[in-house]
Amino acid sequence: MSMHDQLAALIESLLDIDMEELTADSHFKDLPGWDSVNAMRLIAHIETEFAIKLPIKEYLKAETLADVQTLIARAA
Amino acid sequence: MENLQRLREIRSLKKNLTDPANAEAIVKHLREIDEVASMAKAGFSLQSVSLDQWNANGRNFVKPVRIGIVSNFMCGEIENYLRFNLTRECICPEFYLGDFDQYIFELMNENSELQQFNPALTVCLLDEHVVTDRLSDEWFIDEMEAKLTEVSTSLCELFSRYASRSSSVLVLNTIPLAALTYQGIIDYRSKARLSRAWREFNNQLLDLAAAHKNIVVLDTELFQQNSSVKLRDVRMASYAKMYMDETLLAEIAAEIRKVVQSIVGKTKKCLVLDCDNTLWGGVIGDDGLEGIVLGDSPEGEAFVAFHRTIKRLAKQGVILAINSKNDKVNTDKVFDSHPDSVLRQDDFVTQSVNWDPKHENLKTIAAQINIGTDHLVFVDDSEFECNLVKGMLPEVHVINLAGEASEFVEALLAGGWFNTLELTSEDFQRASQYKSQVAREDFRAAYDSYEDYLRELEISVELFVPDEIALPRIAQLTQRTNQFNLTTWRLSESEVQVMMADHNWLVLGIRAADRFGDNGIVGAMFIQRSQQADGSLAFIVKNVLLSCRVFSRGIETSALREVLLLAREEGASKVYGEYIPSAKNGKFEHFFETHGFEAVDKNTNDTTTYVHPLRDLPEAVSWIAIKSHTTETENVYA
Repeated sequence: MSMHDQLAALIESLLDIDMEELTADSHFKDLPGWDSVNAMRLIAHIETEFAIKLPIKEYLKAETLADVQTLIARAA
Repeated sequence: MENLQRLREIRSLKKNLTDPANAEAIVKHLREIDEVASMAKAGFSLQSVSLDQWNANGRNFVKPVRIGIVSNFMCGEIENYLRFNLTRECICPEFYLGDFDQYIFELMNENSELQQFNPALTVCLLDEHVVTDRLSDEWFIDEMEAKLTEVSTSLCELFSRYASRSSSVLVLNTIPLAALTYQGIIDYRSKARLSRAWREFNNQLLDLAAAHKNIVVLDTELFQQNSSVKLRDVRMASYAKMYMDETLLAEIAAEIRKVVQSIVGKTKKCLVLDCDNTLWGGVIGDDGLEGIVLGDSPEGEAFVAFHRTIKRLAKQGVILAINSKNDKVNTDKVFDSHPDSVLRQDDFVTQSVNWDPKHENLKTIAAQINIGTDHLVFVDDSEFECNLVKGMLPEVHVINLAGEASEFVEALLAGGWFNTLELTSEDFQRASQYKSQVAREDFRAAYDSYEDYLRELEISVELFVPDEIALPRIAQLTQRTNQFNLTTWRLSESEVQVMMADHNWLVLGIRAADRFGDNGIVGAMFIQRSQQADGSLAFIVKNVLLSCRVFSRGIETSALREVLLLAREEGASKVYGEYIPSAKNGKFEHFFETHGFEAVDKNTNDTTTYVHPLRDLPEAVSWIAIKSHTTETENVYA
């Protein structure tokens, strides 16, 4: 599975949407049900799934899926 | 199936709920989801499904319940966990969520949005910030002790006021002492004082449950015994103001589900047990009395512990039954003569020991006890039998014992299927009352006609105004009675109490006894005195309830006749009666008509109103001796 698919599957497991609807350019703030709780859940999921630790300040600045992928790649 | 796969199925099924099979399939999927994040997600996904959609095509598939939630932190996530837990049991919650840290205002102010929402259940979740936010930066133990006393006094006052004013059941949590707070103190003498003061604070909260009938206090420390439950996620707390970890919120929601089930009348009543490899190790038909594992070894002791747990449930009013593929002569041997069997023959109200399919036996058992199959919990070690019952009778809760006897007690108790807000004296006597029931049936076989039998039963009925002692049982009847419950009003104790204090209301309890024993409080009537447009007085019978244990004996006729007599005595011109159909009460649809009432009106919310003109009263039931304060003393009810 590509990193995008892995990330999209994690987001699908949090929100009421299909992972197919997500692209690298999808903005988090546009996702239905996106809020600070889900943002915190997602970082926890990512850290477990990829066995990494993300810098939280930069993570919170990330706007799109692509931004988060960059952070994951950098931390891995 | 994976959790994610189930979530996808749910998302697709919810799009078409006009098909009843889809609603049932969703509930089935929910029951299989076993991981915290997926629970939240499933609950979130079902947020868009309305009560009308669940109950499309005029079905009565799910029951509604209004829940108000207030807190000192961002706890909105609990809605998702609650919706997940409740929908699994066919209960559809409607929520009011208070704003962050507004709980004092919401509970205190009689016109707050919470109070206007009029919830059946109010959840107030608090964490240690209610104390620590009020401490100075360099607090030490003296300050902490003083602050704990101050906060517990004000919280107890707040909760007491809300509970005495509202009929809502208020659910609170004890607040755990966070390890980080504890570790901030470095000397052990002060640490001990901190622990002690903190526990005293929680004890004050726990005392509220003893003082108020509509307060439930959940002991948060017990949830933390589950190793996967965390008190707090520091990042969630810092960045999302969610001070309780989701695993803890999920546990709290699972516990609240048990409370809600008891409020809406979905408590389970009867525990149905398999025998071989469930109540003992081995197969009695093959291994014989000496060969089965029960007592005398670590594994055998685990089965004995399981017996003891079951016996204690029975002591608290849970009805026990057996459903076993066996020759009865073999299982009898265990219950009659195995030295280590704690469960004995007369602990069971009924036994289906035969080679019939287990789901058929379950239907028979429910019919014998006169309850719905949705009030059964079925326990079996065989995955095949469990799946069969789940498929054929999805309303039965099935507990599959995975084969390790030491884990049976936990498997049986974790779901809290029989939990109730308060036990009444009737609950403690239920076993003996069912034994009298069996004696009555034997006695009945000796009579040619049913009326002769009833005459020889020497039934006596008493109508009375409930006192404080009878109050819990009256409320419990409204919560547990499903068949003979003409309008399915569910009332909390405080709601009944409010009616009893109001002169426009007449709340009557019905007690019954016969030659085989006292049946206790078996019914209730809720009557409203109403001034008519022409100035005359009318009685409106808003609800009549009767326990299924005493159906078909004329008790309801006797009781209703007394109400008509009383109405006439008080100078009423008419008596009205109301009936609202439910999935369970169809058998009593014609109750008022068969007692001389005529239907006058059917309004939009399904209430049929009947009227009795008080000219010809029904005849007294000749085989019942009725003792009623209505005919003995005047104005006893006024």
